[in-house]
Amino acid sequence: MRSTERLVVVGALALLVIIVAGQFCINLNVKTEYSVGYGPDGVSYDIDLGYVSNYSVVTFDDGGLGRNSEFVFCFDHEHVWYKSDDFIQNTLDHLARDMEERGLTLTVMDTKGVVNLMESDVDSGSSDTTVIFMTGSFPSEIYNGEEGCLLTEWLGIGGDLVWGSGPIGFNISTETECVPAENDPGTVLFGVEGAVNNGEGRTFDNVSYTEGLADMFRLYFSETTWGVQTGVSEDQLVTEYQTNGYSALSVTRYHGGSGSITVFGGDVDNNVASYVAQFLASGLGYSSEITDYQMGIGKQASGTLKVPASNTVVFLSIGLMNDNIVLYRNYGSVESVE
Amino acid sequence: MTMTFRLTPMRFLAIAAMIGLAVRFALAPFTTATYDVSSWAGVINGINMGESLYDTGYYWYAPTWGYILAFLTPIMNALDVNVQGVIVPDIASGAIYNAYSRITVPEFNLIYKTPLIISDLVVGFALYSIVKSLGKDDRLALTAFCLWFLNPLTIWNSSMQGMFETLSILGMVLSVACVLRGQNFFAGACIVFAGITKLFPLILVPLMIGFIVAKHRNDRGVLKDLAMATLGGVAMFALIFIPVALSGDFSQAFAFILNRMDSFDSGGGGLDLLHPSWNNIFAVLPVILTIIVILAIYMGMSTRDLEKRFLLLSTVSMCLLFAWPFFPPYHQYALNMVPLMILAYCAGYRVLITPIVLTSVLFFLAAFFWMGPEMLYPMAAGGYLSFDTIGQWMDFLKQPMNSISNLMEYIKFVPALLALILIARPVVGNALKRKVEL
Repeated sequence: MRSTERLVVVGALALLVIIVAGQFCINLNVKTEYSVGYGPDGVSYDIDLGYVSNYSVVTFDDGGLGRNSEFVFCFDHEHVWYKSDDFIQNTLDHLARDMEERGLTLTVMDTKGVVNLMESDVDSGSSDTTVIFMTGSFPSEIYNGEEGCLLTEWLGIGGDLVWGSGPIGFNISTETECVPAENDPGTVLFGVEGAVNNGEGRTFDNVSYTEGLADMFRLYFSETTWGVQTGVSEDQLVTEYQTNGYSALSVTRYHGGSGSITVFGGDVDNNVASYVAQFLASGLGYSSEITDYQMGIGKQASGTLKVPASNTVVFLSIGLMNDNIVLYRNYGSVESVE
Repeated sequence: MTMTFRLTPMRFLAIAAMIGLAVRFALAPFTTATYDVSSWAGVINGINMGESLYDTGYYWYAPTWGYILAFLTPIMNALDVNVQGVIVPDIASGAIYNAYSRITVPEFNLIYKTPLIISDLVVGFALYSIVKSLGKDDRLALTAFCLWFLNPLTIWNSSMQGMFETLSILGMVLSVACVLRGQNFFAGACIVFAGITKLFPLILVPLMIGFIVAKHRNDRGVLKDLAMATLGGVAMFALIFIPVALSGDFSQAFAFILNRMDSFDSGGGGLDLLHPSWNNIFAVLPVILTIIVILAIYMGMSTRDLEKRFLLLSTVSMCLLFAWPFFPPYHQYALNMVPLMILAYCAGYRVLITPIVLTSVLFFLAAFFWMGPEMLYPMAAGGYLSFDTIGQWMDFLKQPMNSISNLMEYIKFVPALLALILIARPVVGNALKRKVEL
């Protein structure tokens, strides 16, 4: 055998050995340990990993809104949606998985089920379920473009709505067609005409916002095509990604009640579904106010953060994109914590 | 006493190999295709979190490359390499090129590209060995090595973009070497390895069967050889897929192929002249496969110059995939043609030097313009340049470079078609001549 042939054999065998060895490296169970604790000096955290990772720990006052424990995704094949069924299903698949990775469970419910849920909530006067629409349009049974419909009633009693993949309120789905709504959804949902962006073409914000809200919570969603106007309500939380006054990600209090409307101002496809999951896991709401945060990169980290006077929430995130591990702790008011 | 340095073939080979390696290792840390590398980083992060390859949400291919990434994971962890990189808004925006990508640091890029660079080198040595065994011509063997290893498209693919075509090509070239030598078990194993890593080399399977049949025209060894090749293929398939099957991810390992076909179906499945798309290749796949089978039958009926004919028809088979206007291949796919063209060139079809050079330059430039300054972001992640500087280059250069890249989509079929024409010309000429003489 010539020397070059020996090199070929050795090289090919080496790659084969790497491939076989790699099969055993998939379940290495790399150390991933993290914890937070509430003490007299504030919230302390400790991260100990077997790999180098980005991390972020944030304390904030959530205004007492808390985080819902039930998450419902409205989707059925009986309606003609603004987005295609395949697109919605793809988003749903990724969102469900990304939520599961963050310890949240997503339930898929058809329109009838969501109608029943909302009617039940309205009857009882309270809601503890987040309803997610990534269909780009509302079903006509829930929203007909006018105040007083089931959706606005539900928002009025405190319903929590999360929206993406289309201009909110602009399109209404029936079993046969998807038609434009007659009234301005900005007025109906936010009390301000033109509050929802619905321009031509897709728009994004390209600016870097280091250590802003988006960076702290790893919410790098930057499409503003169908964003909600920044400042449309005093009770509004927005990330830094904005274009012409419209936010890529906004949480706004419903103008006619205590409900919450979260809008992702662009397509929520498989690439960005994790940001929706990340947001849902964070417990952020329209009245959240950041108290303290620490961010960095490394294998080990620990520290202490200041806590707000009340409604203390701690959010710990390890990772960067779809690979985020999150820890959510709601300590409520300081007085109630021993 | 004076020492004289004689440039023997082996020394020349060593120097060419060192130059190729130096270029690769100089480029590898500081360049990437952000979209692809984002996926590889996602896989490694997922593995760190105890997920299977397909649970990471970033892996859609057969598991070969994934296993290599898995192997690299503990190494990167031990070396404290940042395997997550950083988010850059210019890219995260999706407005310029792609959506939601991250930039990996130079150490990460260097480590994950090293197996690809090794593969490039082994392919080069394999080409050298095949050519040497064909005619004992050192110079020609060196030419084959240099045409591959110092080729800008090869360097781009493994060391800049960081895609794993080279692994599949390694399997393909080794299978060609083995089948020429009658080592059919390994030929079968290598072609299956190549085909499951990236599909393209599978196009050579009918031809390989034809070659084995032709070799045994006068004896009864054909069934034994085919059985050995099949056995090798099955063994390799089992080696790669058993772990995936055990973890319940078998069907996901083929998602890449199915997604491509879905993309063709959902696109209407027709010829769209305004929007050239590689996935539309499925429209003419029956035609291509028919020609491949005819070529394989022709190969099986051949009685002389079997090796040369096999190498030439291998080139024809592969070029058939890439010679279609309006189905422009991604630049890394075109690399599959290069080693086969080189072998055919060295087997005596010297006219192929033009398509070899054209393929290498055209697809390298297409890749370069497609990527633009974005490929340099790892320099910012490593602290050698500021993100703002690259961002300014992006603002200035990205769109015009993308426009050129888009225009190049319309001429990507030229090298393969030229190769087919140059190969067919003497055959057609001879046929016409015979007709006139009759």
